[in-house]
Amino acid sequence: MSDPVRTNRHEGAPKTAPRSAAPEEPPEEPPPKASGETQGKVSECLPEHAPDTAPEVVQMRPGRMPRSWRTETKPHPFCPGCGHGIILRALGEAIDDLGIAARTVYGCDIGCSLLSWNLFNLDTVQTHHGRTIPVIVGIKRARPDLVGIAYMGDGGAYAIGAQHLVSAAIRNEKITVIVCNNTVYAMTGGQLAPTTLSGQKTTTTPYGRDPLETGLPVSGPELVTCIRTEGVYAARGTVANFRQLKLFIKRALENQMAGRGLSFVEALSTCPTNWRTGPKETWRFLEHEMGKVFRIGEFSRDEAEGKAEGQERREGRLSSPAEAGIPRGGNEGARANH
Amino acid sequence: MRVVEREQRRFMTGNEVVARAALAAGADMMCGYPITPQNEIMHTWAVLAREHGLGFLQTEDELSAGFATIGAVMAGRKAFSATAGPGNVLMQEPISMAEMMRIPAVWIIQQRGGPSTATVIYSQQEVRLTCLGGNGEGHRIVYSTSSHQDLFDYTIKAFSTAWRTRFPTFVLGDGYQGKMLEALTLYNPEDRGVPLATPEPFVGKPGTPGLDRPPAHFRNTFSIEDELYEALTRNIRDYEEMAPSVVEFEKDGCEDAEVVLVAHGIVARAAREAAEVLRARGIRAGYFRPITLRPFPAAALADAVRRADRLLVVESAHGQLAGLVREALYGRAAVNVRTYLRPGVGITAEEIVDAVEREASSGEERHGSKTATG
Repeated sequence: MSDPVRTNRHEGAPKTAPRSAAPEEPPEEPPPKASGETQGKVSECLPEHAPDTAPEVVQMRPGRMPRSWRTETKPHPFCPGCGHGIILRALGEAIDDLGIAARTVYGCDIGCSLLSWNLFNLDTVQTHHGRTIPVIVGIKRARPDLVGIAYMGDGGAYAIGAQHLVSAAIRNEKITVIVCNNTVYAMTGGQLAPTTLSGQKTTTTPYGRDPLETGLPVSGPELVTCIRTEGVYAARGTVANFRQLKLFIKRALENQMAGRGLSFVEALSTCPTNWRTGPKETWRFLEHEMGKVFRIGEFSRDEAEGKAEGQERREGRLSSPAEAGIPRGGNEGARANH
Repeated sequence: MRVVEREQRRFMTGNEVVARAALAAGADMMCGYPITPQNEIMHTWAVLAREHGLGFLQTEDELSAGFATIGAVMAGRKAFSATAGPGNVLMQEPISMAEMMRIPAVWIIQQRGGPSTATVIYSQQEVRLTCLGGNGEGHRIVYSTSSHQDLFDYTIKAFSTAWRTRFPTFVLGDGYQGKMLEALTLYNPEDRGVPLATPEPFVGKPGTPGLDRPPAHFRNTFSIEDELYEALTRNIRDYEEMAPSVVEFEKDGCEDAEVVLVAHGIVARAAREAAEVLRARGIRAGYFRPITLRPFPAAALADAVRRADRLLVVESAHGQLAGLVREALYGRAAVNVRTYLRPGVGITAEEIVDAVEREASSGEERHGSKTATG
């Protein structure tokens, strides 16, 4: 299982060539040797880690992978211009900065996120579509000392696995959920996703998404903070702002490590393959079209605090109906009125 | 975990028995979702978990219950879940992942009527689903219990088998067994020398991955057909190798039997009684009960019916056990396979005796070629 077999959708591509990267992503270091020749000491393959001395410079050092990345499985298999690599780099650097590689368990979903099953030097479970949250919940509840990360796409988080996200928020699971929002189902061929923009053409909305028929794009962090705020960390970043995205992810991990509650980060991302866009148009869609619909920032505490009435009830301080003087199985309002 | 001071007789419901057996087997985590008729397993476990400091999580659905169980197992727990009917349908998704990734976990299935919501009470209609559900080859181990003592013994055994073989393992009961009160002997497995498995974590082992040890990378998705074929070939080989050590059955009076009654689960009790009554009335009847429905005791059944003229499959389903029997006997035994099928309802010994006598008195029924596919 630990054998670094590559999952490569581009079998035809020469394995030793550096992959062409998105314009916003500096080119990565070519793999040290052809795969299979790097079976020696793992530490020899690791790049030297430079200390973060220049905070003003975007911390994407060309040629430097995060220490928590597995060099043997690079270059990663994502398409040129895909945002997954940027999000996972931000996650990798956040893990490095926090020094938690030894106690992190990473879970990835079905969809393009599954291609990260051997991307990290982290214990990893690749699960089913939408089911990464419950797997990580099981791991975290069994081993609260571990840091559990559930990484998935917008379809996994907001459609097929929506009940798990909602319930993780209700129970305030002490895990970190990171969602890549690229407005489409990418691996299956660019279908309508819960996050598809109004009017956006996809393979299943060939004439554009009609909100009357298929609704409006869902807002993940807003959804999470509607359910619960206390202890929750929720934020939305973008691959267009790496430093901020990394900061959000880092805070989300810290929130989990402090045992406060659910940590949730959505990252606006790109899918030029399914958007059928060139570099310029890809960037414009991310920055302008998606930026108009999805608000970047942190959504937790300050924003939601004190907003809702009856917060005490919502935070579950009434431990049981019996203790609160409510008949078992009853609804207090209904009983009071009858 | 010692469940009793010393061996003792108790009178309790089957669902409570299961929870206590799981405790005795060293289980330390349960994830579940309410569905009748297994609820009292969760109720009992919720109390036991608090008393003994063990894990319990009521999830949002069976998908989550199954996947959280797998997560807990991967983190080193001896975890289990319990479900029934439509819950078993949903549970097939996480079970298929456990099957592919060779995650040992125990599922208790208390069968209810089907298809759909049907009844909350009883049936034997989840045989196919439990044995062969999922989009694969059905690499599972299924113990079918027929008494409360069975529920206790085989729940304990299921944990040992699952962790020894790394195939998902089931205890297949039903609502009658789950809800009924019956006497049994509770014991601590260690007092009887029953071996218990020690779980190992799959993830979160000591050391930094990539520095002190290779990272543990688990996947269920393969890029190309040959990769999958390789993984499946490994699983098939392992399954076939372990099957003889797992397969179990019970039989009585088959040596000289003209008719062998084949039944599993709670119906096997009626079949056994019916065989005795028939013998007393001059019909040489035998009795065969597969305890493991998967792997199925095919060779043992073929041997048991060697001298028989016919066998009668009796089940509270419309041919699910009969299908397993026909498959097992095809090419192995020349015997007429007849059925007494009562989908979704219980079966008494009297009904089985009647069915055999009716058939015996009708000459036509006994004509026809001797074939296992009859």
